[in-house]
Amino acid sequence: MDKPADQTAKRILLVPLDPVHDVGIKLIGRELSKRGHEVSLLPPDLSVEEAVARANVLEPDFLMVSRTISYGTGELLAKFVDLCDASGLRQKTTLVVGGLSIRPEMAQEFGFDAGFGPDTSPGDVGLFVEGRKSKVCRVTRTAEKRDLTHGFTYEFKDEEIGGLCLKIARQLLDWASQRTTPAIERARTRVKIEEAKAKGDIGAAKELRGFYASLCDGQVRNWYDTGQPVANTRPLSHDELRELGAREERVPVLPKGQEVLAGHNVLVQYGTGCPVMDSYHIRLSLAWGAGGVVHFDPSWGARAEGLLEGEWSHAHDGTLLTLENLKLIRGSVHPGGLWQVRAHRGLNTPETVVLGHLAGADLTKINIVYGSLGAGTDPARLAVDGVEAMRLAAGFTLPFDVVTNEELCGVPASKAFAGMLIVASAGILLGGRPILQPLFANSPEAMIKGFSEDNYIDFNAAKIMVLQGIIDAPVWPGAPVGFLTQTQDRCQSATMTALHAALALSLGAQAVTIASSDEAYAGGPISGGARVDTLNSTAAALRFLGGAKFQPTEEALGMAAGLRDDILDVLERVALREDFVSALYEGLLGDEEDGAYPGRAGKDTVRMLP
Amino acid sequence: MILGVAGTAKNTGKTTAMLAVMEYLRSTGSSLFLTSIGYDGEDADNLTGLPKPRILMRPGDLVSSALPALKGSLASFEDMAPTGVQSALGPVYRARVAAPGRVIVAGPPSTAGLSLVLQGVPRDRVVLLDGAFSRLAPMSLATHVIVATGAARYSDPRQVAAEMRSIGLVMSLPAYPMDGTFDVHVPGGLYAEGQDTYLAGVLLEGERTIQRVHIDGVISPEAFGRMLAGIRYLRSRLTFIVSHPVYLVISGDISLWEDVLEEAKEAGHRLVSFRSSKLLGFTLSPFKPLFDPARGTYAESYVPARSFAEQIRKQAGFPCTDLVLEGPALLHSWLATVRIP
Repeated sequence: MDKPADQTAKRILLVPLDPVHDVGIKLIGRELSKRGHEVSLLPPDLSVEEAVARANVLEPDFLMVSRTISYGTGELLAKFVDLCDASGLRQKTTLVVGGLSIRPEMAQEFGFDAGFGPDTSPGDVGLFVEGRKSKVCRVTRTAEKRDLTHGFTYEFKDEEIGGLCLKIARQLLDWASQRTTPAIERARTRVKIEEAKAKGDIGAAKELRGFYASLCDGQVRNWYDTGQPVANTRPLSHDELRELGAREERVPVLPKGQEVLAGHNVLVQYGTGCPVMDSYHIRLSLAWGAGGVVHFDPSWGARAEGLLEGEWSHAHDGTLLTLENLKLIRGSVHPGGLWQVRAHRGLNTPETVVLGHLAGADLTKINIVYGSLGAGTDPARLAVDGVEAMRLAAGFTLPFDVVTNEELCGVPASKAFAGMLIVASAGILLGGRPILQPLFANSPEAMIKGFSEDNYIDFNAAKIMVLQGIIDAPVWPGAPVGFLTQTQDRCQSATMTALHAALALSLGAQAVTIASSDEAYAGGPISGGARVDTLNSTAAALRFLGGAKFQPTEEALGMAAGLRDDILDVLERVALREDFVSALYEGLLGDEEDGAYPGRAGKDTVRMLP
Repeated sequence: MILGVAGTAKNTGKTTAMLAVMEYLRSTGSSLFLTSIGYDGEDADNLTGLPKPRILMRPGDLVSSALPALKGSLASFEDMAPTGVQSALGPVYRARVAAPGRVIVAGPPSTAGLSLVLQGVPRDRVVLLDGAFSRLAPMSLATHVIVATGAARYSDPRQVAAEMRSIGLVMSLPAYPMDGTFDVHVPGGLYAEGQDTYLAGVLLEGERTIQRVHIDGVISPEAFGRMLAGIRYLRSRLTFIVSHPVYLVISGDISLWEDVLEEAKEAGHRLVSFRSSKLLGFTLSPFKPLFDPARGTYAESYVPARSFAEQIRKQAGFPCTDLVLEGPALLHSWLATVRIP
């Protein structure tokens, strides 16, 4: 809030309570003198009593103390303030404290009228003295949860490609509408179970649970029948549940230098296996400026029919998808943070969307193509489940990204994008809000074709350009960005991640997913420090870039044009096939030579509807 | 009634003491008004990073805190009004708690600001004044004071006890009528170098006429002791009037007051005070945060609580209790002696 400027010259006394003069206070003194104020500087290393006694003689309008905060200095500053107050000086003089470690909360606790930290320039001090700028500090940020799909029309700009996508998508939806799977039945049963519980109808819930169990298999079914935990899992203890504590209600104030992230949606992935550990990672990441987090579940879950119930810890990567686990984890995400629960592969995708919705997720992830060609799920199965998942997501108003990580297997971007556009089109037809997720990576295609030989900008920029030219839809590069460009060196890894993230956001992406600096190669636990590395680096890159842009070479335009033509070519062949699922099996959207293999989990489990 | 909870240092258990007082006041059905001269109620300490007790307020409680702190609190508020006082976090507001929850209290930092804030407090409210660090000057507005001390101040119980004795003696100075007269007014206090010599000179020169001396402001025991030494050959017996006892425990080594007051008494002089706050007692805490200079971090640690408290109790000569070890019963008994609105 601006106050009317006070034009009169002020008498300012600078008091360095450090043993030696510091440069900062001299810079401030020079600025204030330049602005016409009367500035006096006491020598350093005076006792508090001496400084206050001299100040009482001079009776300045402002008394500015500088002091490095270290062990015991808080008491010194508090004593200084007390002495000023008790000696009557406080009635005439505004007390200000400044230093590298000073934050407004500290100044408040010491008893000063204002506190200036490392982000305060000498000019800011001048404005404060002149009353031009109130030093009103926010203890917390208020953040609104962002809708990544806001403002997008989903209209195809490239009518040729759009026409094909919609045609294929309609065929897919029609095909899927005649079929069902155990996953769909389980998802519907889960909804009924939760409704029965909500009504307090324990009998009905129990009966429905029995039916649910009959639709499961393997260790999951065994758990429902006997209570025996699935291998490598255990229930969370009371202490662990207590550790998870109350829901996070406050949006944390970002550390200095990380504020730039507040204007972007940078998401990170978690899934340690343990909800307590996940909670630490989530809170740490959000505190350092991540705009949201993405849940990783265990890979074995993708091959199991059915999901467990209850609060579980898992001894390996990936945190179990249960409603209870998700609710616990949700509590760690502050009100402004985005939370994604992925439903892009496996035998439980529709129910995953249901659980995500019930637990309060903001986003999900669905892609029939990647999930079946790069993540092990049978194409027919995932096609039926994926359509149902998209229908549910639309009904829950849950946007979903359509991931294209099959590029890492070797599938060329043209095929991956063709698949992504088809699935996104199906989602649009169902009333959903899909988000395109191109992969920024040094993919096999990029390496083989030499797209990344000179730089990592052109091919990634071409991807964004072509997508933006095809459809008016949000783009969210991931997941995460920078694959195969990072080494085991933390600095190099963090830098690569940051550059890719900055590139994505500067090209107009609505969000970007980044990894920690050890995630690309860790093969083991991801550390908190490594998470902070990439959030720090990403913030630094965004600060460096500001409103400036990366400049692709002319090659990027050619890459984008070629990519567009190749996408069209793929879509034409899929459309000609007139059977999307068969196209998946036959490799039209990625074949063995590309490194894509139709998954086997859930094979022969699709039933025709009567 | 304005009850101040002050501390001799950071991490001496002020908030814990204040919460125990709040518990007692709620049990008596008292209506509360809470403010702080610092910053309290946050998750982790601003300096040490160690966890802090949470302050929970209930519907109907009044609180005065900086606006950003109120907005960052989990309780919700109504009837919010500016007090006209500024703090380092922004304007200080007065508000009534509408829905219960945690509150961050960051109130007026100065005595003058606090006085302004207290003007608007309904008379049927008990004002709880939460201290900060070892800051004491604003406590001069309190009618009653509890002082928190402990291992964070000194890990040696003898030093803690010595300081408590001095504080207790100072806070027990006899009252001097507010409209009482004096012969000499010393406006700048008595704490800085040279002030003692100057005052001694004035008193020696005016020996025949000066009997009552008002020292207005901060007085350190060292400066007062030097002044006494300077007038040791004075034949007259003087009455030294201080503005408030807290001004005697702001500068210098507080534990010296026991000896200095004794010297003054032996010399036949008196120390009295215009205003005072009744010291109800001391709370003790064995908590002592340990600083690791290599890492620049603090860790929790404790001295042996029972022996710490017992040794202090034997030597302090004033009521004291360890709330965690002994429970709040003793503290509640002090409060029971006070007339609470």
